[in-house]
Amino acid sequence: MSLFAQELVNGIVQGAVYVLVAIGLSLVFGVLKIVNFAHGEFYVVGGFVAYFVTHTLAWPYWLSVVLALVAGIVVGGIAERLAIRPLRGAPEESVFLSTFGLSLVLLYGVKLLIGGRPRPVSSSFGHTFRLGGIAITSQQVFVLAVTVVLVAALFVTLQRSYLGVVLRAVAQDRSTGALMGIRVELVYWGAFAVAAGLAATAGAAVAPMYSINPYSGQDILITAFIVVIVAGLGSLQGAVAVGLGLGILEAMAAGYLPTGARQWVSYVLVVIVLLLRPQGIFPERATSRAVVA
Amino acid sequence: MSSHSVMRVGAALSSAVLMAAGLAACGSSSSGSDSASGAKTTSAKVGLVILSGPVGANEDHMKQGFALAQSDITAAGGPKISLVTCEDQVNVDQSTACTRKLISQDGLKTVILDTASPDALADSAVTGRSGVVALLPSQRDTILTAQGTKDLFRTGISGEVEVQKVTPQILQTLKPKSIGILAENNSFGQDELKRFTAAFKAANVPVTYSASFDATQTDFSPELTKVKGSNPDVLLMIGEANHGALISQQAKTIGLTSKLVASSGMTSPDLITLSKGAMEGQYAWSTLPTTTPTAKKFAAEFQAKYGSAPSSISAEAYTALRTLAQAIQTAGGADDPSKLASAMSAVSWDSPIGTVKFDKTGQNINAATELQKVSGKNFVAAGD
Repeated sequence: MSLFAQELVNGIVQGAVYVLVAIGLSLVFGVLKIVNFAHGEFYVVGGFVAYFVTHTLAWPYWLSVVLALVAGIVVGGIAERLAIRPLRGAPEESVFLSTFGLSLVLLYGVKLLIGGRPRPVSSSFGHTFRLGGIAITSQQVFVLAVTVVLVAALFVTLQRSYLGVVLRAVAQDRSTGALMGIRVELVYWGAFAVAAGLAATAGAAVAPMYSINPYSGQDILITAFIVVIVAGLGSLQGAVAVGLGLGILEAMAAGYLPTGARQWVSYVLVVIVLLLRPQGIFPERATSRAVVA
Repeated sequence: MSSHSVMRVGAALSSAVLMAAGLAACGSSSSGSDSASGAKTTSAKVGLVILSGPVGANEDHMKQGFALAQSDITAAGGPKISLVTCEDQVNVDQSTACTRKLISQDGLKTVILDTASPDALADSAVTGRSGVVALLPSQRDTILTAQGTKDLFRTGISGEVEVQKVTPQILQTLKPKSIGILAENNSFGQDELKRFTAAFKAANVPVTYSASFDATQTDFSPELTKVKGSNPDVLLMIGEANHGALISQQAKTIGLTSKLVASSGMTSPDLITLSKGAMEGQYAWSTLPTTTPTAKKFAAEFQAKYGSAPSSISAEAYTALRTLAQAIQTAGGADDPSKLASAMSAVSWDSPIGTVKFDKTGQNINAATELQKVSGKNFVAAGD
């Protein structure tokens, strides 16, 4: 029972990280209609901002998470301007290759700056709560809290604000949005930058638990793709549900199935979903109402 | 997306993968010049397939060990060795592609193989067929030198000998009544898991729990919860420094009381810094002893150059290149594999990891292993 409860906690926390990364990937697909292969690198950027702020500058960890969000938005904004916008209207494969190239530039840029070895990130959240047979660290609680706050802020913005209306309009029909006076390029830029900021925040939030290295973004990107495909391309609510579910599924597989199960259960899941519901589990969200729920 | 779009995306992705493979194979290579600064200085180009990528934490350690060796070789009037490197991206196919490139494209006759045993195993088949001298600095898998590949030399320790040497030290120092083992799920980890299980069983110390983990695994709580249930006196951790750091942190979080012992692949300053204090007072074994004069001199020199203590991997890389340099000096270069292999067989010198001397299979028979304890930011002999 304690193993089950422990894995449930671990799975929810891991799922929260998947949500933060996958929701940005889904947002970019929903609004810009592109698959961003560089998305995992923003997660790495966030982790290294946390390392730089806590290790080199010796500033508080919580501040590093805020700065990672800001850095992610800035780097994402620059990346959109340099690697995505010039290819607007170009064939889809050109944009795919551009984001792929962007991911290599970011990966090897980070590696060039600080080398390939993992870096530890210190955190002020070092306490462990013991409830019965399970242990919950304050860092895990922090990761959950950050996810809840950012996801809630994103949904409220999308559903209750003028910005959200504008973004939904562009996601549903770019041409009509432009005819109504919406600055479409600005919306694209903002969506891409916010998505990068969310991934960077996830990287900073999780860095004290796992350390960070330049290649950390590759695994999380694959998992985020799985979440987005299973949820339905462009579905944000679906990404939240599937991200959490996948985290729990992987943790249970690790606890109760043989070595390696954690990796293959997610692939089995995506194959089953593609066979039975190729449009994803939440297709109506993805198609009829586009990016925002 | 329409089916046409899907096909175009597929084609684009295929192109991207091919492009990435090409970039990784070619773009990361580098080579130094062959210019002889003096008439009597021997120059040689040597290929290096280096472990890089998500679990390539030791890449920096290897490069530091090689760089220090190069400067020491030059200072001692030895041959000028240029390393032509190729990164493997932790991929056996890429590693083999690197080995082929170094031999056929760069025309090299000597290659230092990938640190990962499975990759080195595939690479050694290529070097064996090509009649090229191959060097193994840190690979543990016993089969590498046992398979009878021609002109293959391992300056580091084999897994078989490592287990034989470290098991009595663990038994004597920690006096465990039961053992748990967590080993990385690759040929090296599984080989050591099997050998340690047999060695402790022979010593009448039962292995009450054993499990494998994947190279990219970060959450070890399921395995550690089960370890806690079986409550062994000692938990062996076999893998890389980042694995050991996470296991020790998570063991502390769940309140595991077993003594932790990290494998030599983990034994680096990274293990101490990444574990954030969780390894304090715990154990590790290392191929770099703390007590011999040569090891002490190397550690001091390394500390002065890089500002940190050396890892086992750095010491092994240093030893490999210094050993090769002696053979190159004797053979008059690295272009004649048969002359170089003969010279390698005859090398004997007092290295940081013990007196290098090869048996007829190309295995260094004197590589050291010492059980050590984490004390502050350093590893000290376990008995200290």
